[in-house]
Amino acid sequence: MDSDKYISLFVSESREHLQQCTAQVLEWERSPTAVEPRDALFRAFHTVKGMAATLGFARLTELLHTAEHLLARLRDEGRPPTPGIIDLYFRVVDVAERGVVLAASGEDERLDAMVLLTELESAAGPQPTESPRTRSSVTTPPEGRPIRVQLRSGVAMPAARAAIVLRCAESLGEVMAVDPPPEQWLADDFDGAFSFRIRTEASGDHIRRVIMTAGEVTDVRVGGEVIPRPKVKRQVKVDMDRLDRLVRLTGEIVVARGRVAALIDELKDSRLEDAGHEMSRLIADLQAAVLSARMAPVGEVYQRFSRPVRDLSRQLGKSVRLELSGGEIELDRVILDELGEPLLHLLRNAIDHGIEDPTDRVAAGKLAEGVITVSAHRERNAAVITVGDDGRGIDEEAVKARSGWSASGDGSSGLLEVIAQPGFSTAEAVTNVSGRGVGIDAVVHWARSRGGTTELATQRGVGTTVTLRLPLSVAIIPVLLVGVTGQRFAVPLGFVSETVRLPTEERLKEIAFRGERVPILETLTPGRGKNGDPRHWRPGVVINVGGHRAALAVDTLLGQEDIVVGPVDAPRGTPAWINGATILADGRPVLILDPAVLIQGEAP
Amino acid sequence: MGQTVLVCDDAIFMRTMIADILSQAGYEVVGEAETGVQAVEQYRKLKPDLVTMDIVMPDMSGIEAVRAICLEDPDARILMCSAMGQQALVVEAIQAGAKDFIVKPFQPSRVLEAVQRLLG
Repeated sequence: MDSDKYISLFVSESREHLQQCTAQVLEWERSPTAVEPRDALFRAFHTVKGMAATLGFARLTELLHTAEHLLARLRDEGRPPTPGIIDLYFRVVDVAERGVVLAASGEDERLDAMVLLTELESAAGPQPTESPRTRSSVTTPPEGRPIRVQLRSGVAMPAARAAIVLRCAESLGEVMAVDPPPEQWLADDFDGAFSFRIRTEASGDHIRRVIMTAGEVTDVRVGGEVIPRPKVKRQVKVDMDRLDRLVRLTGEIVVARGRVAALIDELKDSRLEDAGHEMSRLIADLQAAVLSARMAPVGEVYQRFSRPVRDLSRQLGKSVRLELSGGEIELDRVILDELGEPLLHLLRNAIDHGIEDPTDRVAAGKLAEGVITVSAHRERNAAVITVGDDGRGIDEEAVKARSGWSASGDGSSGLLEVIAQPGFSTAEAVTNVSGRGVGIDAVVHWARSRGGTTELATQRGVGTTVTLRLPLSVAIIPVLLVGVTGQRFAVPLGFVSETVRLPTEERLKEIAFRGERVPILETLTPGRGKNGDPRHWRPGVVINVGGHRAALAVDTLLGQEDIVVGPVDAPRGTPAWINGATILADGRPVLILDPAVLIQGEAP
Repeated sequence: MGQTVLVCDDAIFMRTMIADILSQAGYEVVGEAETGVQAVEQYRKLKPDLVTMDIVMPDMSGIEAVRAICLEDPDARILMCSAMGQQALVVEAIQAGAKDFIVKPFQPSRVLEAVQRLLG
């Protein structure tokens, strides 16, 4: 068997299940009497255990089995979890995640979970019948196999239909523990979902078939297995490398299309033009489809936050509520995979520096519980993610005193620059959380490297909000091509406000643009202004980075194009404002500019 | 030969309608009953493959008739014909041994679906 393939499937599926487990444990902690989080955990552990056992990972299997056993005991005894048990399950998820990694690299036996196993077993208490280790999940357990049934939604007389289901099930063996009990089925809120246990030797498939004969049944789950409903979306896991290859190839087709389109223009044949347009439209559709395959919802990253926020606020003795919204907003997988760390930085800052101690909050007339919000929404061709807190805000006086920086007018943007200096911190003591440098320099740097921007807004006593603006795709971006002495540069269109004519008068350092004084950037054209141009003007590109504008002087405007951004190994001495390079349709290279660095270079 | 059906309903209209739906689909309606007592007698005599049973009938209700029939033949395939708002009665009929139910107003497709489910 192709064991590598199975192992990578095992890793990716297990991770998915275990990630959801953290959310379930948190949910269980919030409502200990709720049944669903416990059952969801049970199902997830059971599924991962099944995979681990199949692949022969004994240590991981044992851990999950024991974790599952305690859940079953709690369920059977109707026992809600103690805070100690909740903590145990947080640890189970952690250790299991580590176990998956170890197992995948062939080191399952290095998984040391003895302490955790002992604690799980003692929390379960003595087994009334047989020891948990010897119980096999294959033979019929004495309490019968659990069955969950879902009737078609909107079915006529669900209670009567459910009664038929039970009668069908009774033909197989003794039925017990019906939940909700039949006398509650006549209630209006019975939605046709119910479960029971059945003592039978029949196979899962057979049980399912018999229950289906009752009619109007859309889903039957036997034991821990899941039978997908036919209307569930079908998904295939695809290796990221393959997807990247598709994106690269599509990018090359887009580039080749440009070349063909140029030839068609020259030939002036209407039939060729029609065919060319058709092809262009299809290629645009293909590009959109391939890129959307790389998109994933921000919510995937959100799942990783609840736990650190909980742990950290406990550790610091703060009370914090995390509110997440916009989880459905989609981002390029590459950005999404990297997004977790910067957002965690911001969350740590918010908890450590932003949110006050409960007593201070109450003294300031706030609720003892601080609120941190993470939200995402879509703007034209960017995803905007904000992390906000209702804490004390940043003390601009302290920042000034420390840096010699002086705020002018709307100081927040300048403030970001100052606190983003590596190593800058106003924290009096370096905590092991986030005291050594606020870490925001890493966030600003990362966003910039991805063609995005960072903004900061703060108000003393009210709170701080950091806004990340990120491109939706990293693979193909629309750019404005400009020329300077034969060399061509690409300005990402997301940063372009518009193009203007710059006067070629001497010593002109800025122009008026929409009632604003906008500095002229001579980065590409050093010393050119003085020499004069026979036209008395030259073209300029007004770029806008998070509300800061500048007019970039160039020699010629060459038009708009989609370019494929490839990885670039910048040679030593490459100016910081060059962000990458790509090959154009005509085969010549073009350098991609980083507007954020260009504007920054202009700042005093 | 088609499978045999006994149609029990106190209203001629309903009996006719059900009989039409079933005979058009190739089933053979071998008898009709207007009361619960008649239903039990006819079942004994005809041993049909399927019974359609109204719930509210004079003499003996449909549910009592189901109970009486199933006492003698637990494998009797009885399809309850009910109206909206009779869910509790349908549940009772099922506990008494009815195998499935349909809800008025009848749609031929629903009726046949249930009949096919019962007759396999």
